[in-house]
Amino acid sequence: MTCRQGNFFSAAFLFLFASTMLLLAIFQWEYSTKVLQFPVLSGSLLVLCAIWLAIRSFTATEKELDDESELFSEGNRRCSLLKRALWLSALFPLGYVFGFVVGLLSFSFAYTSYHGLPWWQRILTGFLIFAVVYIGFNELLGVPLPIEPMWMRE
Amino acid sequence: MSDLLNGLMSFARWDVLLVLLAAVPVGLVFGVLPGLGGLVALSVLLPLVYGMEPIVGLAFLLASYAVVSTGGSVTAILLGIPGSPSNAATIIDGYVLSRRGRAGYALGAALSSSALGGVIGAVVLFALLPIVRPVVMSFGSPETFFLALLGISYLAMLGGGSPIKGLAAGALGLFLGTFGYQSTTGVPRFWMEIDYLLDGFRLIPLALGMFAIPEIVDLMSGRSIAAKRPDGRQMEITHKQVWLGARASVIRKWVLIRSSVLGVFLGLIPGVGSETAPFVTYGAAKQASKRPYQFGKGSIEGVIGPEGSNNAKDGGALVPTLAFGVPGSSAMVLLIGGFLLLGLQPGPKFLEDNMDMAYGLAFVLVGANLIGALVLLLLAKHLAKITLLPGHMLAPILLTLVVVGAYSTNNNFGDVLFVFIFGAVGIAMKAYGFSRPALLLGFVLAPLLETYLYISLNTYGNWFFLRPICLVLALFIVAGAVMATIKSHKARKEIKAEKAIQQEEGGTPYDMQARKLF
Repeated sequence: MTCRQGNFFSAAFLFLFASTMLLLAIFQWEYSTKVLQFPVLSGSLLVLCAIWLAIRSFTATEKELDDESELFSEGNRRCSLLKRALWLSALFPLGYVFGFVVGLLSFSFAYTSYHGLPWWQRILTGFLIFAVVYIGFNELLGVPLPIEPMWMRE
Repeated sequence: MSDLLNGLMSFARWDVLLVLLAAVPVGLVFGVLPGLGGLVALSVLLPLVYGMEPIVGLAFLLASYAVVSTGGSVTAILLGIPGSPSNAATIIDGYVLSRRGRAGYALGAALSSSALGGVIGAVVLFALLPIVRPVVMSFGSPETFFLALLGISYLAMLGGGSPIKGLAAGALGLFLGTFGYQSTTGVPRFWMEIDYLLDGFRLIPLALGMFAIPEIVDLMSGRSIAAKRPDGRQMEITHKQVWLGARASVIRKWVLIRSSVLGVFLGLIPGVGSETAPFVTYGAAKQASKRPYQFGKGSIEGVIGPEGSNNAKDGGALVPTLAFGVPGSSAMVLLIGGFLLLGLQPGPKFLEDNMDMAYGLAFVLVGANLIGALVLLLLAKHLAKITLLPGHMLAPILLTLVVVGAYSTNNNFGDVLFVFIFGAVGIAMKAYGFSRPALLLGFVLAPLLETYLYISLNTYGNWFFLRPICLVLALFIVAGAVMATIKSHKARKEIKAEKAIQQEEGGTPYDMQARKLF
């Protein structure tokens, strides 16, 4: 996606999000005026900004839009943005189903192995994660984390 | 004067000093770990003070709380993750400096600004305690509304290269801030039958998603946080860098003093300070800077501004807490709990009977800030080496911190899920140059604006803005906007001139600045 397209789609998303929410609030959920005043103010500001941004995505020069954007670092073919997104999306289900110790440790070992880190770095990473989750948060700070897998929780 | 001396004497006791030395590292750990912050620190530590002598127990709580933001600045600068929400503004320039291999420089500036800001906050506390009543009482709902409006006026300033994108991000933040129960009527808005949304979006998942996830995605490319030299060698992190950073905050003393005083002032007004102050002072520093265009690209003033206010606001927040028993921030509610646990009731009577203890607590604030910053300054060189670790090793560790930090705030998986949802939004915002700090500022200010506007209109009528302090604040807002416009014109001219020099000499203006420094 080019910068210009990205800017236009961002503006379109903002416009659709704010206008849909406001329309639902007025016609579907039927909030009273007192409840709606501030959301309408801020939502209208957002809609106006979105329109301005959409127009600007056509009128600004390519260089201007490029200067504003921040590129993500490129890695080898194992680190494409899509693969990074897939890794991220795996983390929540792993933590939820297998608990924070097993879930996060298995994520760490899978991730570091996939990227070919030396064995000692893989073990060190795993140990640090265990230290943070179990020793640090759970034991020392007493934060009640979901340590056990889902089927063992009460 | 005798109260002040008695306060100093009560602070200089061996047991108070010992407790101070124990509390500072604990507070720093709570600050360094994302998602925990001052509120969690106080709630975990509160039961421990039961049975202690009042000054010892309060010194323990206050010292550990006072250094949380100082610890958070380390995570913000080195890893791009806000240790506590109030450190989010430090990321904007601090993390950029880390990526340039100048983490030591940024840490030095942040830690010394934090410490000096904390000392300024305590000095203001000393000065205000005897005369505080008329100052705080003169701020009603209309004035607080205008303070929030002052914060909103900085939204476009936070927009980096494009003010409209800053405004759009701020508007999105304001809009997201209206989700959940409306504080004045109790009606839940936009909750779409999802129970989690009844309370609206939460600040910590939003801050972690917006700032941490995009940086972690970047690290997943395998690069280390600090850039390598052109010859492929790693940047060296030296004590000299840290020292130069600390010196930078002294050289730019007006940025520091202005930010600290503004931080104290915002902390003073109940309900405004804690998360708002760093963003407002960042905007103010940018507005007053001779080189506003460097903000967001690694300006050291962009680190000094928010960090100067971060600890200073605690001094301000203590004023209404001690003087009226009205908590100056959410964490101060727990501190009041500590007072009650120790058999004390903060308020006007407390100041009458225990002025020496109030001064003693101000000394604790000074001591904790100085010790906390000193400990981290000594460790900074070693801490900054984190930025040299490979990204593939750091990414799973940081993701763990983010997941656990988000969960531990409310013990709710919904918070973890929303970290990733906001993370996706943050990635898009970073990619297309929308200001993430502006979104966070809008989100924090939305409930304040709405609530105080509602109360002001109902209590003072449509002409509430004609109150004298409101008019003064309105004047500040207008003058700020005019100054910003004039400065941006000047800045554009300077950019052109610098680009011309850059083309002649080769290298970016920052490279040239770095060559001068190192």
